[in-house]
Amino acid sequence: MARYALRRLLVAVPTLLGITLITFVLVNLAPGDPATSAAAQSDRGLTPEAHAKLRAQYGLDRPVIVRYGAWLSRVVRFDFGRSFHDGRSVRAKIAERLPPTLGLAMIALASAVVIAIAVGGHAAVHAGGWVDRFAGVACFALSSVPRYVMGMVLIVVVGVRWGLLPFMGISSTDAADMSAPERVFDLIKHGLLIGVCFVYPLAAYLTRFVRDNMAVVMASDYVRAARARGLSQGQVIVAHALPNALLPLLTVIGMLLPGVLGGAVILEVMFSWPGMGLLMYDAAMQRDYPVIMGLTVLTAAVVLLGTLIVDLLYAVIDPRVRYA
Amino acid sequence: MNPPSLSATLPVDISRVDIDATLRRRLRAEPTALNPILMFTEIDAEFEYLLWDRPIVLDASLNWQLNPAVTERYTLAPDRMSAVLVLKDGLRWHDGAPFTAEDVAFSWARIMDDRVICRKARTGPDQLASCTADDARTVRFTFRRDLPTNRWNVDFPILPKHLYEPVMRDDPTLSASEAAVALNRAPVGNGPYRFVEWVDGQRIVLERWDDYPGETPAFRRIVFQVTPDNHAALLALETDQIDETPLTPQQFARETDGERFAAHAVKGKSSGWTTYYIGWNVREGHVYTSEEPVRQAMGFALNVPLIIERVFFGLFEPATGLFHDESSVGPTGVATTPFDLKLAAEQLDRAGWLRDPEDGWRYKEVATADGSTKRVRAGFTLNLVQGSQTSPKIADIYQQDLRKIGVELRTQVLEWSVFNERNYRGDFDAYVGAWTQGPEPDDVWNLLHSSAIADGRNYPGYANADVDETLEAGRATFDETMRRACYVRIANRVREDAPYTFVASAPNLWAFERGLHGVTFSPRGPALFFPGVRSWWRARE
Amino acid sequence: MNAGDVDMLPPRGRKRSALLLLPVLLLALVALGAPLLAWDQPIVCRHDGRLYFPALVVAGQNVPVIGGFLRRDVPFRYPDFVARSDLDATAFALWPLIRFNPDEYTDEALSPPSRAHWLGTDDRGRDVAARMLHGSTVSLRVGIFAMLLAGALGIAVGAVAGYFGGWNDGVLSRVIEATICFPALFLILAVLAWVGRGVGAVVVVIALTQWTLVARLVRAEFLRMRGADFVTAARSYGASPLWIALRHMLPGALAPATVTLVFGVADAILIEAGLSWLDFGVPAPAASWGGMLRSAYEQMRSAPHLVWPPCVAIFVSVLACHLAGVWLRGRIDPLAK
Repeated sequence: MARYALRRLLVAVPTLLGITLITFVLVNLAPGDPATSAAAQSDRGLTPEAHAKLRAQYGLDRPVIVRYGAWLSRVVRFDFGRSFHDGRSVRAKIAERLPPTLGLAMIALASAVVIAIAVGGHAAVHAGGWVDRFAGVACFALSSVPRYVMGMVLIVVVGVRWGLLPFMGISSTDAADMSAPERVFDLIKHGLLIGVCFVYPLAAYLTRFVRDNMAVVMASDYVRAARARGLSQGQVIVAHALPNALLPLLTVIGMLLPGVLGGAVILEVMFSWPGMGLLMYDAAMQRDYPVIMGLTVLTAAVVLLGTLIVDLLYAVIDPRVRYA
Repeated sequence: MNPPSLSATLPVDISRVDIDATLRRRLRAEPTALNPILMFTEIDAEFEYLLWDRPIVLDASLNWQLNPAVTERYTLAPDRMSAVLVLKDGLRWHDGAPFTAEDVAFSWARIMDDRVICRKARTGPDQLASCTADDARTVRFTFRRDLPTNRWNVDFPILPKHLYEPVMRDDPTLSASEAAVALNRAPVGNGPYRFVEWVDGQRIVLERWDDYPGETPAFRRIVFQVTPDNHAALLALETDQIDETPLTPQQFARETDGERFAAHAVKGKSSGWTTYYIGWNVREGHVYTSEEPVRQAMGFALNVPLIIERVFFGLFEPATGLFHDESSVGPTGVATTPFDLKLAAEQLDRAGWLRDPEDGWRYKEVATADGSTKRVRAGFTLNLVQGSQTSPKIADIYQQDLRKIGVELRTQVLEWSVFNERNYRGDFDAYVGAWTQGPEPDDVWNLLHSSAIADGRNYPGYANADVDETLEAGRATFDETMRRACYVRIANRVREDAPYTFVASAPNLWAFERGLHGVTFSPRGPALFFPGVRSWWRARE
Repeated sequence: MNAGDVDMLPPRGRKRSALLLLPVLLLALVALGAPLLAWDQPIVCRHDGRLYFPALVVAGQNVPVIGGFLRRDVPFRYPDFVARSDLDATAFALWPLIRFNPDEYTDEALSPPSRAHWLGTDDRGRDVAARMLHGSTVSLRVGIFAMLLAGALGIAVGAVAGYFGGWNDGVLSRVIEATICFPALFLILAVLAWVGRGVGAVVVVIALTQWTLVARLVRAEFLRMRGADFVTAARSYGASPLWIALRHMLPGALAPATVTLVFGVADAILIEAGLSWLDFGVPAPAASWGGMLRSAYEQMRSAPHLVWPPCVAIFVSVLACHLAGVWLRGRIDPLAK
């Protein structure tokens, strides 16, 4: 098992290298490089000589592959360089944007799991009941509502028409004057609308998943056997049905994790949520090469690690999986 | 038309003023760096005006003025080839270090150092031959040429030498090291406000500097709240979370007349010197747009009244050219181009772009390099900046009208960086741009002079010997009447040659919290001039 | 997460009725026949003693391949010909339901729904209903072509990896993995910055980011079938690898791939609208739901009637694709959970 994990990690290295190489080349070949942008924003100093100097200053005068080599040699020492845009270190910039994205994602996932177990579990135990039927239709309908359409509707109705909740950014203007509990409350208020947009598709998906898995377990022989032994309905659910349904849920969550952590560019742009998605969008628009590369490495590593963990989890749960 | 309470000046009786108030301003985006020589956006400028005090300032009419808080006197030598600026005694930076002539000389050297990427600050000071400190209070400027614009050229932002000199040794770019970034994000200035904190993506806080030698501003604190979204900003104003925000034409015309708005805020409007235009590529390779009669016809086909009505909600004014009527060049007398599709069609007929009865579009036989001819369809690609709310609407309306006379307009939305790059390389047919006129008419050199094709913003590639000469004459003469005549002549030439077709001038549209007073407008809006925000106040409750 | 992973419909209706296909068929009809529902020229009319079919020809031009051979008749092809005023009002004419072109601006700007404009007009006075109907053409075209391209790419890569296994599989699996990890947004921005914007560009970028699902599926199917009796048998009588892959294995892998692709059309529609929302989509004035959503957002305070049409349109089309996917899965694999 450890050898399998190690082998998988080793295989991930060339993948990561490939991703970074392609991104690096793409980034550098896309039109609108930062030196030209800087020149085009200036009133004077637009001559080819001045432009060449600017390129040299941004380090764009060397061949792409040489620059990639230089970048790589710094990255292995965990030095991701400085942002072209504001000169801050890429690590600091990303570190600042991680909590909003990560926090939102984890809370959304946790809420979705709670909803899924409650609703899905109830639906499975009372299969065919009205909760089951209603949840089925609702889950299907919700899974067809795009997150940004939901976001837009929430902003229009809850944010603007009713003026109930803030829908932009992560804190209020007067946050500086607030006490700590007020700040937390303020943060929750700001996260609520975008949070809903994260939760509902996850909840719809997981509810269905829990329901189907539990229903299978509930109909299985050993649950019937347990009932025959005289266990109450509650005991059967808690002791047998739930644990059996939770293991696959865990793997599914592992599968969803990379997508959830990757953030949602459109949603973050829509709600001005200062997370990784917004940072990626801004960096791409500003051709902030070091930030783009830093984010690429981070997201790719998270996804690779996520799939690895899922595979390992599978192996743990299902002994039939061999480490081939 | 603006509510009188808005512009009420600061009362003599200071006890009526709330001197502990906080002013909460809206920021549409974060500044790039709080280093005045690296600054280049309007957002950056908001901070420049509060954190730093230059020896020379612009008043509400954008006139050149000495800053009474900083400058003792400015004397031009009799031969006008040098000048001396004497600073007031006892000036200090926010950290207590003395503010001296050395700082000025140091800053000029940094601005001129081409390792520093200053996009804007170099325009002007690059016309100086030298800038030196005679003693702690005396700055000596020498000029390359004897020009009326020299008094603008000595106006540039000033950095604290004692802080930036150590940084410069390791990092001459002033933007690529930990120390430089730290300084650029927590600046030390000499203005009426000093820097307190910058919470990334959320807010920037300034506080009144008690040792400021000039007139003390009324607000104790200024909080800039980052609010990119226009809806959110208006809502924040209506729920008393911010005190002012610029408005979009749509917001001004349609979304600020309700009771909710009136209960919290008032609107202010003034004419501005920003003009939307379409720039045409006049280079030969661009068959359609390089023809002067064609460009004129395109001017007739631009439905400015409808654009003003639909896109700008009746708030913009038709533009006559590069010079606003209220600027120093004054009314140039250049007529606005009428919207007349028939005239446009006739003009195109005369220019040899004839309608094909088969499909209704216009075509022309054009000679190619190898001697043969090629049939070209009348039309062009209009480049638009991604994310702009207005330019696609202008393009849509234009497209519908051009269709009617058989001309095909294709639109191309480009990211800002790519849009700029295309313009810079001259790789476009036409683009929608905006030009903000400065206080000095000589600024148009950069858009019109043939030398600015290679080194300037003459993106269309426009070259006219007469315009070049007249620009030179306008730059060199000290006679105000003659200068004005030069620029009027240029305005007329530009209208005839049509390298640019002007769409409309944007007014300044703003909303303020009801209790805010002392607000006046300049062509640059209510803040970006002297005194600007410094004269705003709120009554004690 | 893919909506196709879990059967989202209530378990009761496991026997999938063909009615589930109805929404997607309707959507396709609207997309194909948008000019018959909303156009500024009649479907059929008599003009100067001749019969013309202007809107019908426009509809035909939207059809891939054959559309290229169709041309509008004089005077209807003239860009300045206004049928509403230039046609003889007394002559025979069968008009579309909505007599407006989605791009033309009328005198009423930002008017709420009315008898003349069922869903109101936008800021340039364009008929929202006409734009909504024509938006389906863009969405569906992007959705279908992107998935065809993604399908072709995914099946090719998946089949090669799955058939040969070993070294080939190792490399191709890494490529698939790398594509999944790749920052999709950046890929999209880079490609669009290069090739410019348009339906073709959007189709390509969506396909480039979406082909991996199919590839993984096909690869797994091929790996599973490699050792199957019918493959061994085919090999034993000397069939070529290509023949075995195409004739014997592909049909088995095609069915699950198709289900994924039908769900994928919904994803592609979503991505297209999202790109348009970010102002990276199909350029104006082409009606696109994402673009309508964006401009509705900008004007939601002064013109709330603009918000709902694109929201509903996107929701309904995604729902239609999901229903069709569910139906298809039920048909192909009745034992599927």
